[in-house]
Amino acid sequence: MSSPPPGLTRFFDAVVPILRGDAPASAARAIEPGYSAHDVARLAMFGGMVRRQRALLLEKVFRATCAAWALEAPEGFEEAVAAHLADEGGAEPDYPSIALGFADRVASAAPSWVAEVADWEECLHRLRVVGAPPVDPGLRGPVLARAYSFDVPAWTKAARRGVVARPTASPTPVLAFRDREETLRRLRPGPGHVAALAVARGEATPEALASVVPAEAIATAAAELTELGLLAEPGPRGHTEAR
Amino acid sequence: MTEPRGVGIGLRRSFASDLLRTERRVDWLEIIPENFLGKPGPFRHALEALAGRYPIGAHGVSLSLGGPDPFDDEALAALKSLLDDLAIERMTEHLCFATARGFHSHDLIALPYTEEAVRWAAGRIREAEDRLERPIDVENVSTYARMPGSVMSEGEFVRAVVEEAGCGLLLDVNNVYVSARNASLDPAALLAAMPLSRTRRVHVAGHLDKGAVCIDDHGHPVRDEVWALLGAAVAEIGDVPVLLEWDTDVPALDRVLDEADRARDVVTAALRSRTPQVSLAVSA
Repeated sequence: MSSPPPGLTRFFDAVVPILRGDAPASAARAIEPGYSAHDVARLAMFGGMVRRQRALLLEKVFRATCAAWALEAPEGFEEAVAAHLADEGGAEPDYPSIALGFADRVASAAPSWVAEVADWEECLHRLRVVGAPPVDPGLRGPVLARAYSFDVPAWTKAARRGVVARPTASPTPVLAFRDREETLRRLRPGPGHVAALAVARGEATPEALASVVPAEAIATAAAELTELGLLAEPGPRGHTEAR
Repeated sequence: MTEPRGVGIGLRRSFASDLLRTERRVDWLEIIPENFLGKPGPFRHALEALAGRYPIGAHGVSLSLGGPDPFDDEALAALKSLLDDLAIERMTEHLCFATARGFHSHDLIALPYTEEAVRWAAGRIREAEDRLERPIDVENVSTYARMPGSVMSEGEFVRAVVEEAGCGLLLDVNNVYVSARNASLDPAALLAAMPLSRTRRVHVAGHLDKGAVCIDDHGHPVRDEVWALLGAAVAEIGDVPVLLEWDTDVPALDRVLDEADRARDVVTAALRSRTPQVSLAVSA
């Protein structure tokens, strides 16, 4: 059985464009000329429900982004969602993954602070639902590192409770990861944490960073990040060095 | 793994950790396998812990059993691996299509009720059963529009497919109600038209009644009319595993378990109603 029989093939050829919104529901009359006006109306309604199901995911994931957008412009968010879904075109088999990439679209259409909120909500969705991004060597699990221009995590949390106001600039680095109990954690890293992370990922050595962060501070931060479950347990050699 | 029995609930991310702590009665859990495929992480860890405590059933949403596109080999292999890992003996899926011509609708779309669709869907069910190496029970879906080309009733179609495929039925009584209301039919008549003798499991859920249309959103308490259908179905079918679904606007675990308790009461009463009365009279 490689392809459906002819009648069923004609059905899919006619109905799929209707469900995608690319053809009117009356196109169903190509396979049933007597398809009633009532049937056409019901099929049109159902097609709308199918498309709405996809939009609902983005509206749920990007709730704070929607609120941020509304502060800057009364319209445009729904259009951005529609454009994102149109571009995605139903190609993504994993439902939660439909939301990925929407932050990039926001970045191209909204003020940068709104884009930062979208980026953060996409980070959370990725860590919570979609699945882990690749894990860098030296890390226990996936870590998303960001440097925002204001306290995006706090703003997002408040916005989701209905408290929405334009943010005040306040540079905010943040690490999002899962701890040993797999609870989603956010950490505002200090210079030691950033340096320890760079060392763990093999991007720098403590010696190279010594002029910025003392080696002892890096070691202390590394121990803290290991305890939190962000960094992998060091092997025997690394363990000795950390001590 | 122990097969599901009694009244279970759908495992949802929001209360997975609470389930590990609750002392309230939960007979079994049902998972949506797609939530775990290729997704290691806390939800998967919770599932593995819960599998040691409760029987687990699997309910797929994306096999697209009636669809025109070939099965995704990689996805089927991953699904089989998950089912093997959890020692789940039966799979359940929807009698519908979800993907067609490369378009992933992420919805459950009714097929046209035709002989061609019966043979096509039955063949695909058998193929999926072979590849997953376990039986599949198919679920009647909620319908909102009569698909063009249909020449059979929904009951006739579902019956024909499960008989042709030789598979079991996952009877969703909420879907029966929603479909009947949306087609201006009598829900009890639609229930009676289903191949009830092939029922292996039953689903019950809440829906949104908007008057002109009922939407199967799994986001509300079960309505009295649907409880009545559950009772009628169990009275006819007998003791089968029942599953309470609550998937949107999911409340706290205790509220879901309250609803499961009510399902258990309905099932118990229905089973009692069908128990033959033993006469204690002794002939003189």
